[in-house]
Amino acid sequence: MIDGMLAGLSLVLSWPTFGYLLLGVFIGLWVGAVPGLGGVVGLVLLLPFTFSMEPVPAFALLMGLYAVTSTSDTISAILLGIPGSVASQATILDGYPLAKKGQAARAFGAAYTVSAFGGVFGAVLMAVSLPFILPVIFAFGIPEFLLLGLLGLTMVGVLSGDHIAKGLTVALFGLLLTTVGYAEATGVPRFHLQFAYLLDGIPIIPIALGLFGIPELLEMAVKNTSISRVEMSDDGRGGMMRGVKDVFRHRWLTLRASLIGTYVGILPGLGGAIVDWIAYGHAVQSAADKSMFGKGDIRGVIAPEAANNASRAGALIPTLAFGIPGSLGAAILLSALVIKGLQPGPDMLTVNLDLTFSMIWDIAIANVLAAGLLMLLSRQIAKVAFLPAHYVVPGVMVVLLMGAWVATSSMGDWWTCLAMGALGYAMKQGGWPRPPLILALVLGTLIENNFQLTIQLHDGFSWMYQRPIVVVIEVAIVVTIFLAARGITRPKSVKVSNTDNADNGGLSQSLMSCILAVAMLSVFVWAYAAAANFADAATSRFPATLLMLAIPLALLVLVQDARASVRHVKAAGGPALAVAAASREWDLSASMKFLGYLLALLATTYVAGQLVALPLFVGLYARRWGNFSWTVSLVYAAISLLVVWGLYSRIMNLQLHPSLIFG
Amino acid sequence: MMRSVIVVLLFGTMLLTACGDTTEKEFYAGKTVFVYVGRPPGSGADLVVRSFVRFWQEHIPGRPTMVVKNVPGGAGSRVWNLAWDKKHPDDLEIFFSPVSATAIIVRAQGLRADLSMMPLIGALTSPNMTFARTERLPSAEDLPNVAGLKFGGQGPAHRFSVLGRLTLDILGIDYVSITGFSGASDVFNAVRRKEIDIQTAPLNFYRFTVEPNVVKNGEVIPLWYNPIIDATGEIVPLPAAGDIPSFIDYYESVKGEAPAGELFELYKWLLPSVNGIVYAAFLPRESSPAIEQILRDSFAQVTQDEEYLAEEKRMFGFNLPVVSSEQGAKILDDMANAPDATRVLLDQYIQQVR
Repeated sequence: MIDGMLAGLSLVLSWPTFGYLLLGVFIGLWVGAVPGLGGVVGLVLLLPFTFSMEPVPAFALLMGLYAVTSTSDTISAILLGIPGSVASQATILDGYPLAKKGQAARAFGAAYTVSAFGGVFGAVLMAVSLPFILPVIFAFGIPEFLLLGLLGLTMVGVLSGDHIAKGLTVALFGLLLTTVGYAEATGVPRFHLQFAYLLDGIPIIPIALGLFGIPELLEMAVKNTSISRVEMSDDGRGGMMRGVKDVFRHRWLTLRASLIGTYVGILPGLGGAIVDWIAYGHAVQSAADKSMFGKGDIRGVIAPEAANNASRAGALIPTLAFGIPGSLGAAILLSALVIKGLQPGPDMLTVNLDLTFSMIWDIAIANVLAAGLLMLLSRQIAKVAFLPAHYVVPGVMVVLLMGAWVATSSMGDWWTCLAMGALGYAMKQGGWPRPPLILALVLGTLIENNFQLTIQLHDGFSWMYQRPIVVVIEVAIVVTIFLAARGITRPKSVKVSNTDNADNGGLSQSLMSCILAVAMLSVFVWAYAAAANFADAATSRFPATLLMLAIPLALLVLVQDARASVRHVKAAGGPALAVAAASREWDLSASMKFLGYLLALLATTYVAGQLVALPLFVGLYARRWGNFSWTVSLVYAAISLLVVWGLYSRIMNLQLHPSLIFG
Repeated sequence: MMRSVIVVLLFGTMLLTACGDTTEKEFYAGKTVFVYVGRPPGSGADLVVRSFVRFWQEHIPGRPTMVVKNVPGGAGSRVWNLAWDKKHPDDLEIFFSPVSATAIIVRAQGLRADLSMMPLIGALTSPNMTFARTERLPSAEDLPNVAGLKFGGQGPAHRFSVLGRLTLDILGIDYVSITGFSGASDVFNAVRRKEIDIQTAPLNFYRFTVEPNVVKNGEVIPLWYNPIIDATGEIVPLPAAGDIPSFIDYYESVKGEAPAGELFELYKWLLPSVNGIVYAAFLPRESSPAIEQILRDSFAQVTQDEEYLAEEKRMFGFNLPVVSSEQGAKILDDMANAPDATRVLLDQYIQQVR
């Protein structure tokens, strides 16, 4: 074993392998930092280049990228409140409020330190766990996966907001969205409203970017505030070092979160999606003082960031040792293995042990390199938080929309992004948590598949009390809801990140929440009626079951909000005055103007294509809304043209929307 | 004078022809061709297409850059619907993905495309086989005596689900069908967790994942492979199967007679379609016939390329049998025009597990 470890290390440190590892790290940092791209896109881009390479340098390149995308995706999560990838969702909850307080550098310092530690710890732990890890993996059967998915959703539902019923309703709404399109079990289309785009299901990237990104950009544009609401002070190197010290202060949390990340990461298909939430939930539950979670508690950054990097190693080992890919990224690595003529399985632990260890070293070294590089850059990156909004909004909007375009490269992606932006804005104003929706989209298909398979594999409900791990997870779900309901895991004062607008307001929040509750309830009732008409049980079973939970929950939220609204309307002096006051709080006219810009952008794209529409949007926004000079506006537009053409069209090979005018 | 005119005309025609030929041959020079595969990155089909494309771009005149794009969804139908909906093809998009034969035969509502109407460039096929857990089935001969086996498959209409169930039903086995797994590796994980007892999967998956991990240590045994039957009804020899018997041989060895009956007739009818064409490359409708020919020629050249064949063998343990565009077109035509009785029987058979 020791020989294999040392042989693996010498392979990684030899030239040109180390050079390829560095290259992979650079590319990984880049694709991780751009919202909408991420590790899978990066691996797919690099895979063809590895065909003709020797295995060790080829895997150094791929592993360098694979290991670090969950480090750099923290940038957009902390700075913009946009999840760079699924792995950085939980980081938003406390990372973004920290940036708003002017402590982005501190959050970066902590995130990168624990990312490096988590990555190295996960790799080492996996290496020593190899002999006994297989029984652990196989102890989790289909019912356990079903329950784990539900546990993840429950945690997000109750932890990411101050209203449990709203959190759970949003989670169920997200699950309902995953049932749109062809049912996996039967191939029968569901809820597609006769739109061809919806037949294949709603892609998650445009939803995530729209739901989180557009409301933040809208608020910045309307208020012309920087991301940070406080002046730049000592948030340079000092702030970053403060983040590093935070990690040492919370070393045991870092260690526990890394352990969670490593072992949850090995669960095929599920681990990577929920690991940050389980670690975040653990951080909240184990904290003596919970009052700052959701408002910018550094522990809310430390736990998910340590866990998601540790999970990369966790997902890798079963892939190599047993041919069981733990994630989509791991599946691509598995295919790279096959291309090299290497068999995943016992051979990787015997005859190819040095190669296996070289990959583990790749992960460990890549994590340290990435953290070091980002530490060097963080001081500059953190300054973005203090830039005036109009410098940031048009550029980020271009990246956000092109990130959404990655999904299917059709206008449906942009419409989805825009619709979800409107929904996200309403949720933010109404105090509804957004993270449960995204996690539900990630887990929805998996939960439905495991639900259908559990029903087929086990008669009745005996599996719910005869399988020990299932019982343990059920208890964890009940305890999580109970403690949250009692305010033990999450005090009443905790507010969702990105819903700070709601703090001001009773009237506007309850009115918007009411509107949302009515809308959700209407959707649920319509969907239930539609599901009742599906021909076979396998098509309707899952949506009907979740709607039976969703309808009463939405009704409960509606009743509570309606009562609050009536109270507020009376206090405001009548409905007309109340609506006028709420409109002012929502900045309705400015928000509509921003929406108008986006609609004009979409219309221009139909006519002239993205190479014209996006630079035009940037130029016009900068000139008319930002009041920049013509020179600055034109330069900004030219840069955006270069990014769209160079990065997305040429390097990413995305097909842009055809132009009616220019062909 | 007349002779001079004829000479000039002939020369001009030759020049124009040569120019046209050169233009078509150089059509792809400096261009990027997108190759769409209807499975996610890292899947078996993605691997087949990516490794093929790497060599294909070297054989196409003009050596274009070929970029593989994944468009999974709709149980594999999305990619074909995308191809079908292309209105003004520019000959820079190729659709190379697994063909869902059963969906074509039963005219599944999710599949809008009529593949028999699209220009087929070429295809590869891939044999599949069935294996079982030894804890439930100590030896292959014990199968008829074991009750309550759990068969795991993907969607009810997936070819592995249909072929797997058909073979078990022809043998008269007492089993339960569990379908809805999202891929062959998902079913295999359930086999390893002892939730599923028996699975039908691609032979290359068996060779690379199943055999080294659980066959060598005795946890799983191979049962049979589902043969490829050619247009004349003959079983195509499959050296890659090694000592694994074909289903028909297996049946005869345990039952002492040749298989027969309505389901066996359906099985026999399906084999040329389901196993005859698996990974097929198409252009959209109304593509240029000259470009079609260039791509067909280059596709055929790849299947003769020694370097490609060596890499394919290293990856899958054997070479995937090649299907010419003519053979493939006939198979697709047969699928699209399946006899009504066969179509109804297959549809009813699939519906049984829904």
